[in-house]
Amino acid sequence: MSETKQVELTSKDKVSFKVDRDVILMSGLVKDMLEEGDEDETPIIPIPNVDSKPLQKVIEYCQYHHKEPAQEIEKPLKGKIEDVICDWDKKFLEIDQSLLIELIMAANYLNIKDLLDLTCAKVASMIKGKSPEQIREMFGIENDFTPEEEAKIREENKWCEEA
Amino acid sequence: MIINKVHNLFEILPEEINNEIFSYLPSVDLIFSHSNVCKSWRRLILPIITKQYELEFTFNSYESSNSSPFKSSTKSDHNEIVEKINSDHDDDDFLHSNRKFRKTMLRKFIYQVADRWIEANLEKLDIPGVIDLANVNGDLDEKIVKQLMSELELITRYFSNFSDLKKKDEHSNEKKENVETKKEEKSSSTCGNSVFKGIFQFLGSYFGAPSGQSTQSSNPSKSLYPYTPQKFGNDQYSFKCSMSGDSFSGKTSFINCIIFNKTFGKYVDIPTIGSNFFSKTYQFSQDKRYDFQIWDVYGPERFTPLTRMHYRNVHVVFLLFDLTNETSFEHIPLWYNELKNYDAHHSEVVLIGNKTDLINGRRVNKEQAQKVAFDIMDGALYVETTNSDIKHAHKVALYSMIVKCCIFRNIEEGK
Repeated sequence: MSETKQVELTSKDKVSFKVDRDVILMSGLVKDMLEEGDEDETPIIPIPNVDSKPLQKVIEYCQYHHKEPAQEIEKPLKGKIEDVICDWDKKFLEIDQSLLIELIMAANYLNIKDLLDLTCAKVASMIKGKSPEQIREMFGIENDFTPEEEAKIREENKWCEEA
Repeated sequence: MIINKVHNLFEILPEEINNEIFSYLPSVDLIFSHSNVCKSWRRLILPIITKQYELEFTFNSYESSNSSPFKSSTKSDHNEIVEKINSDHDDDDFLHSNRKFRKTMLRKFIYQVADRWIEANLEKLDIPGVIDLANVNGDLDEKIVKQLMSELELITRYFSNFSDLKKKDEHSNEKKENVETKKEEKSSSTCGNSVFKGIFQFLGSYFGAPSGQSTQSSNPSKSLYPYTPQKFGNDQYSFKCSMSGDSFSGKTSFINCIIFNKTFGKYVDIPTIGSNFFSKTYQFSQDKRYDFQIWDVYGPERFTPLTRMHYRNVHVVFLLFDLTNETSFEHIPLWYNELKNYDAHHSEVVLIGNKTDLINGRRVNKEQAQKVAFDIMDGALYVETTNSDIKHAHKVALYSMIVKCCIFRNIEEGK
């Protein structure tokens, strides 16, 4: 039995992580890179777009999910996301907004579909059922509609009982 | 490195990820809330809505006969509408179909909620008498209850978007009284220990009336808004509902499902003579009851004054047709025009394609019916049912009650 091969990932802020090769193969990007070179010793892969904190999270996710593939999240979401994902994922997602965003970016860059789905669904769940005002406040979005445009929007929402 | 306070994360994220996020959201959310957040969201969301619109209302290749008069020229019409949605058009036609689309999507959403509500209470439907949706058995998943509650809240919020429901009329004085008393009642009403407490308070709060005040106020005819559920006693409300549609489309069987919790055999073809009246009570809490009154009407009599009587001030009309009978489907526009010519033009019409159990004999496809409901019936809900299972009829009944409640509440609050 051969020893499990390892891969070394280096984050944007020059922190390196040693990960099992099988684990990190979940990332489409790393997989492609590993297939190009076929050296035996521990390859070092720079991940220049991702900070150490989200990268740590990504590795955590891969370590758990490379054996237990995540269940697909139904579209559109029914109820809250917490109702459809496993307990581990629930705990995994207990992070603040900024890290969540970095995580989405990291998942996108590293091409880990399941993680991207999970994090996107999480954001969707956060804005689901919220009113425009609540969402603007939550994410600091500016209301850039002019009064005329707002009137137009209201005009669209007419019940028009009679044809 | 670490962003303390995120400033508009949706500007940081690339567009395709935003699209990914939006794809997890139900279309009613996108239509009524998220597309109104800011310009960039609107730009992103409109194509998604358009796509749903296409899925909903354009014909797929369907292996059915071409004989239907509704089949022709639909594809191009809808393409036009889709183009218009994309191009921020301003003309009236577009605005009209856009509204219809919103309406339809909201109705579908409400139907889904009604559907899940009934599914969660299936075992209760077999019990004769009052259907008590208030006391839920212990084994019901709390999550479902929570979801239902939040969804009902959403529905009211989306309904409050519809601006023309809020116009004033001459009854405004009386209505003000009602609104005040409603608030009182909201705070004081107790619904017992039911799990559904929130929901029923919510539904109950629509028709808040002071416990001491009788319905026979100074001018009873004025105090009743003609299209709102009638109130009997302190905590009983009634909806008037009428059946409509060709003979043998299953109207009487449909009623039987609601009233007697019974399904007839497959081929009991004794036509109704004259008309019949039934009433079924749904109980949403210990002190809130909704009477669902149904008039069963003899199909072929559609041009006689007798039928007209049944449509006076009805809240809901169930317009049935037989999926295995093209003629009954082709008569739908006729029936609908009849309704609009009578006093029923403010009623909520539900188009029901019946007899899905006879799947082999199916002659009318879903897209055709969907299109008729959308184009001819102003975005009415279309559902397919079968009378061989009583739950379908109950779902439609519950749906129509929720819709009427929401419309009513908005009219009230607008005053």
